[in-house]
Amino acid sequence: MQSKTAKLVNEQRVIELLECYGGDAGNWPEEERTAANAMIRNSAQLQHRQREASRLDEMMAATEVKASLSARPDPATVARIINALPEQADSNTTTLSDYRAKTAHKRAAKRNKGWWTYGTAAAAAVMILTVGIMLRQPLQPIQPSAITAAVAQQELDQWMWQEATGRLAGEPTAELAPEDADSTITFLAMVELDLLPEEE
Amino acid sequence: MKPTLPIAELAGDNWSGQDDLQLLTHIAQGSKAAMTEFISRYYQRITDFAWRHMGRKADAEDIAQETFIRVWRKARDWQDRQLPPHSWLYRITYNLCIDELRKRKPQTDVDEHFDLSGNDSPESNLYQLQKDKLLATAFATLSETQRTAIALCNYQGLSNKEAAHVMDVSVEALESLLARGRAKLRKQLSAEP
Repeated sequence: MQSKTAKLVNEQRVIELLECYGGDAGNWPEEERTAANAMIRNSAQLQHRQREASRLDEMMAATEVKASLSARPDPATVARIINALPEQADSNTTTLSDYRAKTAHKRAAKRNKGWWTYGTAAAAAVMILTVGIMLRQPLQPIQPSAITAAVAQQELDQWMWQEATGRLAGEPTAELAPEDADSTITFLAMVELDLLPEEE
Repeated sequence: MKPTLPIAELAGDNWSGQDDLQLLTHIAQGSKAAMTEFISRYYQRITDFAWRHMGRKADAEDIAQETFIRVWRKARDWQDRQLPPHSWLYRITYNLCIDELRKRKPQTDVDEHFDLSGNDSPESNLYQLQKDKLLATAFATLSETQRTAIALCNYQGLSNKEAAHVMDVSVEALESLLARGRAKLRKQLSAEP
């Protein structure tokens, strides 16, 4: 039965398999092997490619001695490594699955800690970005008309104060009698609201 | 997977019937008998793989020993990720080789790789023939990652997924390394008389 991925094998993919894994079908990914072999059987060009790949395999196989790879080492070598092994803490009481269960919450804590770290870093980045944008913006110039209006308003206030109290602006108001203060406030309010009667 | 038998009931040759996952479970429990079987099963392959990186047998043996010590220490941390234990073993070896090569890179040039002379060759006749020497020289021209990809897939017999896991790359990236590595080898070997 063909696997799902086997349907994706086309001529180009077979060439890739030969270039990557060589001419021996046993080295190809298992799920693509059947389809690739079928394509090679029906294509003289792919058969030629496979022969070329196999030729390189033979040259590469010069150093490969499979028997030696599967051979078991000298017992003295194994003993040397065994004697060099360090102690394993709690080695007889904890199984692999137990250990995984015990460390699961630690890994979760690490992940959570990671999120906090990322959050802090993101907040810092936003702050830096905001400050950067603010510094790049030019200061707004003060409009001359605004200055003129402010000065005019100040002078008007001073004149109204003098008219109402007979005193210069800045003189202490503590000397005013309560009725004078009330009349001053009333007068200023009438000026603001434009309620003064027109002079004849 | 939990062990099917208590450690005390396994002795002698019984370990050879255990698969890698069962052995690793026992190793995580501190069984030196299981560790002995695991070393016996993989020492030669790991040494060969490390040798292709380090170029010297003594270095490869040191790497192999350190690999098995790490397996012993970290067996409990091992997570299968749908891959067999030996891909984890190769990954440890690969990382150790990379670390070691980085340490000594300033003092080592390409010609020192694959030292094929004299008593440094293993008993199994690896790298002893002149043809082997040419191939070793061609191998030395590959990049470190190309060499590793070919070593894992061609010589160690790992699947593409396992080799990609060892190298911490995608299968597509692994295939690219394999294709470029083999193309370079073909060019080098075809140029030889």
